[in-house]
Amino acid sequence: MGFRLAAQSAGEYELKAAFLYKFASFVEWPDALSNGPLCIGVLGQDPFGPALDGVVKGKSYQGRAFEIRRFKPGQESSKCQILFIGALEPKKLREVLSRLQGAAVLTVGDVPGFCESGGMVDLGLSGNKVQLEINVEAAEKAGLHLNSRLLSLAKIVRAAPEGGR
Amino acid sequence: MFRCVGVLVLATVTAWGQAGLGDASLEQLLNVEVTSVSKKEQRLSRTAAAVFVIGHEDIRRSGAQNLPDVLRMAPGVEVAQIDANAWAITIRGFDSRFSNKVLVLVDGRSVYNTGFSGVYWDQLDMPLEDIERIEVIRGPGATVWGANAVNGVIDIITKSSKATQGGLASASVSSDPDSQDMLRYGGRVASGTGAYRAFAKYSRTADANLPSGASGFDGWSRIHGGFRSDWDLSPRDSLTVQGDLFSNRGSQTRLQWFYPAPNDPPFAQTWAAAGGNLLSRWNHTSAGGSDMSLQAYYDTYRRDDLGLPESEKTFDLDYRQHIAAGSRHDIVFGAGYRISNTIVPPGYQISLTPANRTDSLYNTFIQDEIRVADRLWLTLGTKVEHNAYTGFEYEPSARLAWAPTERQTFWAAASRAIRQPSREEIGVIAEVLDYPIGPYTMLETRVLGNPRFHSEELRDYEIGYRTQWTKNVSLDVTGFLSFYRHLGTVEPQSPIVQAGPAGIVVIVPVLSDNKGSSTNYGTEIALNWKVSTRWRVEPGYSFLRVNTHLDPASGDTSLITLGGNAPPHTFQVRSLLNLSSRLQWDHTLYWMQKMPNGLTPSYARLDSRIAWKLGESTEISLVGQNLLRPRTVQFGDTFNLLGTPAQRSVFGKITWSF
Repeated sequence: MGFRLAAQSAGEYELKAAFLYKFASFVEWPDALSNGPLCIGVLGQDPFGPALDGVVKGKSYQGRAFEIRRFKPGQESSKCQILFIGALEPKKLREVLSRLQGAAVLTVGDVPGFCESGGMVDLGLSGNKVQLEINVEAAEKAGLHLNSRLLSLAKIVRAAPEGGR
Repeated sequence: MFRCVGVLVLATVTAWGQAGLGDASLEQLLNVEVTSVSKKEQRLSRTAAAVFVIGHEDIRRSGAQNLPDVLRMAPGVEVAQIDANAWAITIRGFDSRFSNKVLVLVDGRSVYNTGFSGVYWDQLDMPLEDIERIEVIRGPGATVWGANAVNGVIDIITKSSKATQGGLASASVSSDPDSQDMLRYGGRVASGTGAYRAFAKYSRTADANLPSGASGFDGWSRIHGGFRSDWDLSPRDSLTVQGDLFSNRGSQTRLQWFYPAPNDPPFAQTWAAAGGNLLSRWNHTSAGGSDMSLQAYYDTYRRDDLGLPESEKTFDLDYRQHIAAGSRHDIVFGAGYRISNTIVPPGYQISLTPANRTDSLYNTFIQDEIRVADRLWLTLGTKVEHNAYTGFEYEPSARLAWAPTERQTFWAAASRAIRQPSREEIGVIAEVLDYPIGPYTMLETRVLGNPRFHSEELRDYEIGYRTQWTKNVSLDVTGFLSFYRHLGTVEPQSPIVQAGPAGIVVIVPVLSDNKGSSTNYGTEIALNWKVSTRWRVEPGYSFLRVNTHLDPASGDTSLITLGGNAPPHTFQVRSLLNLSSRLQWDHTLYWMQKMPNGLTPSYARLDSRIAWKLGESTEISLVGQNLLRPRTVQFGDTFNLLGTPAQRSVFGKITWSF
């Protein structure tokens, strides 16, 4: 008779780890023909614990295995395809993002105003669910092509002008 | 997700492992609710009901080889093995082979049989490896689940086929010698939008050894096959199609008569059951976060048990809609239709009239979870149901949950539930006792169904408290007070004397009636203590007091026996220890006090499991069950079925994934 209807629940960063993994199939990188591993990087404080390694374990996308790498701010992280930027001060965040400008890295974060600071995908929460925000312009500048299905599920935002509020 | 859409918990797919989340679509991920801590206790914060969730890891580590043994770990669930192939399982009392106040579902399919009111546990022999989790709800769940969800609901949820990709083979063999072999394979189709799995399982259980050295003649074998497939039809639509086929056969030791009679020696008889089911469910998520579910299933089985052939066919259609209305209301409503046909051909000893009967059941329900204040939720709802025997039935409930902090919840609930009459209570003719009392004179006791049998009714009041005390200790306490009316009784009538070719027969008709009532109360406590990163200890305790009463006009003797089938105090403790990342050593100790009716003495049961992981794909385990004594009587005899003791056994198991 009865059956379940409701949404699922999960720990916040278990869920966000799943998003990072999922993005691989919705983004085309300029190096699409490469068959090296797909790197998901975490810059700064790592909120995922074992969740991120867990979600990609044994998984591959188009024949490319996943590789999880962790960076300190200031370390060279532009070789990753997807980079999660942990909580940083706004000034530090802009610094990191501007250093990555032009690199084919999908930058992902969840601090308020992440996209306005020049980040590409914001995984902030709205209520108790993830609300995707995407800065398409930043992604295009980096030569990334975002799948329209991904865009259709996200709120499209623009970066604030340099030096803006 | 732990949104209690249903009564309670319907809603939950707690145990999304991380791999499970990875398999979800982007749309599904956007619909996942974030909980502050991904522990089930936390998700329960809005659930105003007594819920215990058995996860797949709990099942694996229990070492259990069948579903009844898995259910033992939920405090407040009474599981007693009658013989090697029959169990008496209930929640909050009135335990019997046909415990009729607990509703059992497998992936939304009711496995409660309406012919005799109860569950044939031997027919639920799915691979335990396929179970995602089991939600055990103690107390009424009738507002959402409908009739017969009186004392509780056991909801068995299997894994999505997306989570069972690749192959899995397992084989086990015990000292008895019992054996179980299973093969499963899962794959993907249609460029990843569809996934499937199929399995086959064959098991054999040996005859019990009686203390006298004789055989219990209760061995059985079963073969079970099935499949499940899950499809993403669109970003917002998913479809599940699944089915099973099974065939069980075995023997049982029985008496001819239901009550003690001279010259009634035990004899062995074979029994058999075979059946199958096919279920399909479509889920649709709308843009606004509301979702819809449409489910249909067909279920059929034939069974020849205690010399009585029966067959049942059921078709069921169920629709549910869940909407969030504004920021305060979370509403679920639905409607269902079920048509079932049972055939019990007239037998030598037991007949049902009419032999072939088809009944319809219609229902609709609505339930609203209202956020009254910031941390206070009131859930109101009712089911309205129409059954073929008692017409319209109402099953309302009111539930209040208050979570003053993130870590604790107080809740209270008041609800009404009914158990609808079975075909047996309405229309049985059963010769239950027949023996000579003089030359050419027989005394016959004949149980007769009563077309005016009422629904049994429960008005239930519950309170509960759940807390995540510290990071490592959580506690769940429930108290309940239950008032039952119109409980089934059997009433002896004036004897009738008939003269026949073989002499005189004195017939004592015994008529099914509703002259019983009961006031029950009790408590259930479950504690979960993570002693260290390697060691978890889970003690549980339950107390139950059953006070049955009979109408002054009643001559019944059965209700007091049934009411006494419940140990007042039960205690259990599980210990799960990771000796290393490859080696696990787990124990469970159960203690059941003797039953108030003296049917079984108190007993303790100890199970132990040691498991060793060889590389990524192979696990070897050694399990001992009922270790404390060679034989334990858990239930005794039940009418004309003779009980046999549970046997001490040790088995080895190998599981290989590929």
